Amino acid sequence: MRSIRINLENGKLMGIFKVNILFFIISIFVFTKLNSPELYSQNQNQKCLICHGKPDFKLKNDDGSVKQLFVNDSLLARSPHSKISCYDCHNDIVEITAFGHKKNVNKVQCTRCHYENNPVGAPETEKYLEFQESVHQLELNKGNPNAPNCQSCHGSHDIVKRKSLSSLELKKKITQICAKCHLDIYAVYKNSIHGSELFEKNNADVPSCTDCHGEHTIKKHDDPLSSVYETKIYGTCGECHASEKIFEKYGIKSDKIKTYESSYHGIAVQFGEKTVANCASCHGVHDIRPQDDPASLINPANIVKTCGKCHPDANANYTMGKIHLNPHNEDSGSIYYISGFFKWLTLITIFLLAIHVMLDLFRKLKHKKALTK
Amino acid sequence: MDKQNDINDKFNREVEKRLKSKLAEYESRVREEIQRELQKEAELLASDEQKKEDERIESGKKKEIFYERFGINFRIQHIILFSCTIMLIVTGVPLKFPKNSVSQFAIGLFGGAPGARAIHHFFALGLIIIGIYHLLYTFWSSHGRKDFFELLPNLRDFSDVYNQIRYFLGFRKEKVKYGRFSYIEKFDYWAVYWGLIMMIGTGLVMWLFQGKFEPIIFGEINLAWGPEIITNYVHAIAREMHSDEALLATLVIIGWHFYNVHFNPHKFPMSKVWLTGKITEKEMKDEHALEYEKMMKKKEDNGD
Repeated sequence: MRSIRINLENGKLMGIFKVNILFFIISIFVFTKLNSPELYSQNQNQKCLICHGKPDFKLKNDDGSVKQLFVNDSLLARSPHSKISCYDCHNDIVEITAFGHKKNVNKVQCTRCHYENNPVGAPETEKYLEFQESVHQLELNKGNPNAPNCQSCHGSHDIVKRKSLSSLELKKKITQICAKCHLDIYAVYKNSIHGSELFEKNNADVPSCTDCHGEHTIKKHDDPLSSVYETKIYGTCGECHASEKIFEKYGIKSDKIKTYESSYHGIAVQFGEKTVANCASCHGVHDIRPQDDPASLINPANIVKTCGKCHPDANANYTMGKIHLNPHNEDSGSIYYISGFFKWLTLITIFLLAIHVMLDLFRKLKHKKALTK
Repeated sequence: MDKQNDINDKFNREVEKRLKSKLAEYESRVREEIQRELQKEAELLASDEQKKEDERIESGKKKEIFYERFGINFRIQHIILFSCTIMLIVTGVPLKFPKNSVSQFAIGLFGGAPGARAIHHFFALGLIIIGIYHLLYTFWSSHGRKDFFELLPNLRDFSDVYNQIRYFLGFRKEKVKYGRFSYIEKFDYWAVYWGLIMMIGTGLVMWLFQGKFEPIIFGEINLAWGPEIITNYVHAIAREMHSDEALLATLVIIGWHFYNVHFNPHKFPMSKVWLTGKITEKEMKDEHALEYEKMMKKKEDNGD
């Protein structure tokens, strides 16, 4: 305290102090400018791109396979990660010599930045927690080399923001991403009603892979928590097929889920029964086709076979009459009138009997009151 | 000698005298004893008679006159009918409300939908058998035949309804007199008739369409020709009717029949006639006055 007071009182010392402060402020300014992430990362990246910027930079593995080591700088510059350096993700590479860097580079861990309340300002997400329970993470845990991690789906150097894509572009891209591993399913899906609408008619209302299976939460179809589990699938289909908003556009009725729920199959499913038919049992899974398609499982020519999967006695009688029947809808024919008849029969009967019961009670109460007086 | 005689006389007299006084004393004591004994006996006798009298009074009170309304055969039919119906309702009606937690609990009790279905089929078989048995009973048993004709509705039932409602509202002072079956009981009987025909008929259609029937203890009954004669459309109609009629029957049983035989203030907690088959003279006079009068008349005629 004392020394400061002396300095403040002394004019000469005061002058030096002021100069010092000025210098300090300027030096901080210059230093931060020099150390700005853009400048820094560009410098560092230039160093890496000496090798990785060449399109023919490849690595031949021992088993003969070729690994692309080229990093497209122009794609990287457009990605949301354009302003961070190579080292920020590939943090295990610390030493680069004239002969390159160490051979076995670790896989990039996105959760180094992308977690809640991270200090570097990376978009916060808890999706990686959902991913922990997914079938892909379980496979990763088992050591399956083909199981995908974050960058398998999101991309690595060519990563793009989800919001930069329209929903149609996104849906198409997702099918292609999943097809990297699930190619056989992609081929089936592409010819289904959903796939052909997406690819040929550019219809963004149809579901692509993640709309049914979930994104980070994706689970095996026989996991009870899966959105496509036997007892859950009708709800997943119902997200679109019970939506009037989507279906009024196409002139298709949106009561298919409701009518399924009131059929014996739907009722048993709601009581947890797994062996009864769900949407996919009759309509197919990835190969859903419209009824007039000869390859459709519910085409009149195929329906007996489809029912026969569970009902060995199924015959042509099974095709006579609607399956998705709404008794409260006039186009279900006589069933509409039968349902109406019973509705009124029940209402009138119960109404008359209730009046009789109440009159009886009224008389007995009155009688009791007269006796107690 | 005289002196000697005198002394003897004196002695004898003294003996006589003392003897007399002592005997008198004994006599009075014995008399008292006998009197006491007699009194006790009399008291015992009196109390015995009192007891007998009491018993007589009590037994007289208990000895109300009962009239048999339903024979054992009919009562067992009713018990089987309602056991089957309750089980069919418990395993069937929840299917109409799958989202309800009570339904989920009820079906859970039977181990899910397949268990509930097997139990439903078992009691459905019971219902079919008791229905057929009752038909035979109404034809072959003299009681059954008599009751069947008593149960046929007639014009009087309509005037009975009118008068009963007037009585409920206080426009009619005296109770309506009913025969062996009031219109309420006739309604119950024919409602069950209608219900059984509907439920068994539509149930059989669904069973045939399935081609198999699996009541728990009999395993699986296969009728592969079923799907040959029933189309999906007919099955859908049967299913709609089965489901709608089931709800109607359940509501009528709980709201109407349970009121009449359980919750009615005069019957609560229940009318025991389904167990004993008997009703008291008072109930007979109140609820079946015409039948009672007829009975009395017959008795008199026989007596004369």
